[in-house]
Amino acid sequence: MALAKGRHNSNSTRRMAPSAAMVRSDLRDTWHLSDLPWEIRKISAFVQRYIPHAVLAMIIALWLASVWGIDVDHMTDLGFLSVLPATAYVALATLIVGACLLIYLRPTKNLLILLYMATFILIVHGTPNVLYGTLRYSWSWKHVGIVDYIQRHGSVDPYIAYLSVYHNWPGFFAINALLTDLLGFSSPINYAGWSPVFFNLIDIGALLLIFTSLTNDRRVVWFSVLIFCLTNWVGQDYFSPQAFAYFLHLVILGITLRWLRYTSLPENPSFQRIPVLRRLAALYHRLVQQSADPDAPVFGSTRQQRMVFQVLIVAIFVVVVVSHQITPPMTLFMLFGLLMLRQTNARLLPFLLAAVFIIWLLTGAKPFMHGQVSEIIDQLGQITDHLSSNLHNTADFSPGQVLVSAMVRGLTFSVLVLAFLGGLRRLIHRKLDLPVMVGVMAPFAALAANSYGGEIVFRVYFFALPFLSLYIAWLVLPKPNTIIRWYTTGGAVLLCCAVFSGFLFAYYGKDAWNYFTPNEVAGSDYVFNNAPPGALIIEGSRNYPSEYRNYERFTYVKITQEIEYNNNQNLIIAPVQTLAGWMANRKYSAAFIIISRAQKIEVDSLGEIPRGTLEHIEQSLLQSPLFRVVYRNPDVTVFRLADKYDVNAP
Amino acid sequence: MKQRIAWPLAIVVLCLAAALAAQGYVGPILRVAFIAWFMLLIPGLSVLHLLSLPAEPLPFLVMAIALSMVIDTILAMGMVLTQNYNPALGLLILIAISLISACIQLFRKSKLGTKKAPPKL
Repeated sequence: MALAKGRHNSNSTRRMAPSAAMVRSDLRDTWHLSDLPWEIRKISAFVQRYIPHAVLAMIIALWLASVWGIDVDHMTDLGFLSVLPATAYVALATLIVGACLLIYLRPTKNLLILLYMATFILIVHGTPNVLYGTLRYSWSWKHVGIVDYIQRHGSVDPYIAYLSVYHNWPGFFAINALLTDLLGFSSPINYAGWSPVFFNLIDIGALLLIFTSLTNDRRVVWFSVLIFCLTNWVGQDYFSPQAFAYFLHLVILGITLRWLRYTSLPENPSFQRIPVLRRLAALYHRLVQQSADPDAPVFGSTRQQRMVFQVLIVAIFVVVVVSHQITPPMTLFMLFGLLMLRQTNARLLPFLLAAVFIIWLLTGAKPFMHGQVSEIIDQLGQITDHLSSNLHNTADFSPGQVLVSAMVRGLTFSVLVLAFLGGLRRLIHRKLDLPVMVGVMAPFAALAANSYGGEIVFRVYFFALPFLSLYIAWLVLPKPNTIIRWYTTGGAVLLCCAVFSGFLFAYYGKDAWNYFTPNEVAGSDYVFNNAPPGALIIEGSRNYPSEYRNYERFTYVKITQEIEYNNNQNLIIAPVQTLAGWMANRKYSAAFIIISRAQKIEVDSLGEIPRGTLEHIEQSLLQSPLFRVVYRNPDVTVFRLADKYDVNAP
Repeated sequence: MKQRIAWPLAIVVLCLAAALAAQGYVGPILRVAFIAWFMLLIPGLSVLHLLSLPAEPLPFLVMAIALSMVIDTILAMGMVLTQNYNPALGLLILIAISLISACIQLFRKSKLGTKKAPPKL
């Protein structure tokens, strides 16, 4: 009956030479079985409406069932991936496919898509925190240590000998000290494990602010957010100043791109006087006008509003400047890029922000900068060195880490290539997207400035990623107001699953040593609770829950660093005598050696020093009468000198 | 009229909840909930309501979070750098900022920030 009616309607409309839209509308009526009883139609509509919700509920249930009872102590050198069962991967794949299909088929269902994104973040970034039960990643513990310092002293010490960089950029630690005390906690450890979930969620808000300022196409907006989530493997979302400053950086860009842009490019009167510049300016105007994207939204703002936005940006930037070292230059590169291409009407703003940055370097951060100026100047322009400092020789890696490294490089390279192709596609369609180009290119300027401790390439990728994601979305998605084909949807789903497989390796691949067992935390607790002020703490490596309590009271020596950088081979040849010599030094009130499970795994996986070195040192100390074990559990051993050799023994 | 008093009233209630939570009148879970939400949202939200900005929900929320972080950090930094670190005083100042902003919003003659923009997302 329904088909007959459809055929009849189809024939009649063909006779009347209808538009394509009319025919589609007619067919849709047929497929909706509109002549069925209203009860059935209602049930059908209800089912259609709530299928995404039901699928999401099933994904969550499947994930919970999959990860319930996982023994994270059995991770191999592939990290968290190695303990996830197959059903967990099925849940994740279904989640990504579901999010993709929603974006393609129902891009206006903002809340539902947001729910999928939030679930993704909660699952991917929240699960380790729940399963591990301890704070992940050793640098998180060090950051907790700075908050602990502020809580105890009520101030910072920019001239402090150890971790002074954090005392010169204390914004993030100050707010966390205040938050921790107000929450009634003794330490931010109680909530720091949720930082990846928190920062990723608020980053989505800031990304939506940016993307909705650049395009009206909701599919592009949501797909860009999804690609960002699937390719943000750098792991700068832990309890850290960079995660905090990154969100604020995105908000500054969002405000600038939304409300501080020219609605139409004005003439520059100063260019009119010189003929060459006048012609170039006219050419640029023509280029910009011809390549304008009709899908790009225009957000007008009054003069008063623009002033308010600029004041807001200055306030936000002040906090970025006092919180993190590399984020302010990245923000400045982007804003100056936008200014040079006349993509922002806030002409004085970048200069004002640069002044704020320089003032902080010359005042608040002066103690740190004083010793670094010559090094920073030396490093300027050394792009090749900065690039190579990020690339480790994988020949030393364990087999699992070779695979992880290959996946990281593959994912990064794929993202860059896909974004390049996306940009090319836009150029073919005569869309210049100047703000997006600036967003991609500006962070690369940092390559010329500093190696940033061998991390600059990752940071460049991280800061360019929102705009790379946008280009990838433009590459994959069909143009607005065109019919969605199954193969484009399928292609997008496959692409998402492919990049996500790379993400899983890159993000979880180092969790064998980023995870600390409760035993390791107990060992660290013993050391930091019992070591008297002025004690020497010799660490197998820095990869353990370290320096999170009373950190400024101690002197730290890392065995791996001594071997790798100071080439102290005595530690391998004669560890007992070498370490005993260090520990017998009267200038320390006491001396401890701590060797833990995660330290050994990291050293053996990355091969920075000969494999098995820490195990060899631990066994040597256990057998030596010079040392006594003061604390031991299956994952940690803490040594001191035997009483008769310990010059500081009571 | 209802809309005009809704936000200031909500801000006053949340300030009160945060103050009670910090004083330990509620359990630890509620304390975390009240204080965390207060610090994350309220100072920025109350100040943003005073500014004549386009009333788009998503950007407004994102800016409120960012501005709250900014106010919290500047306050905490100020206390740390002047060596007058006092969490209770910090909370009091945050509550004062929020309440003053709510009062200004409540009692001023013309309400700013009413330029209705078309919903984008």
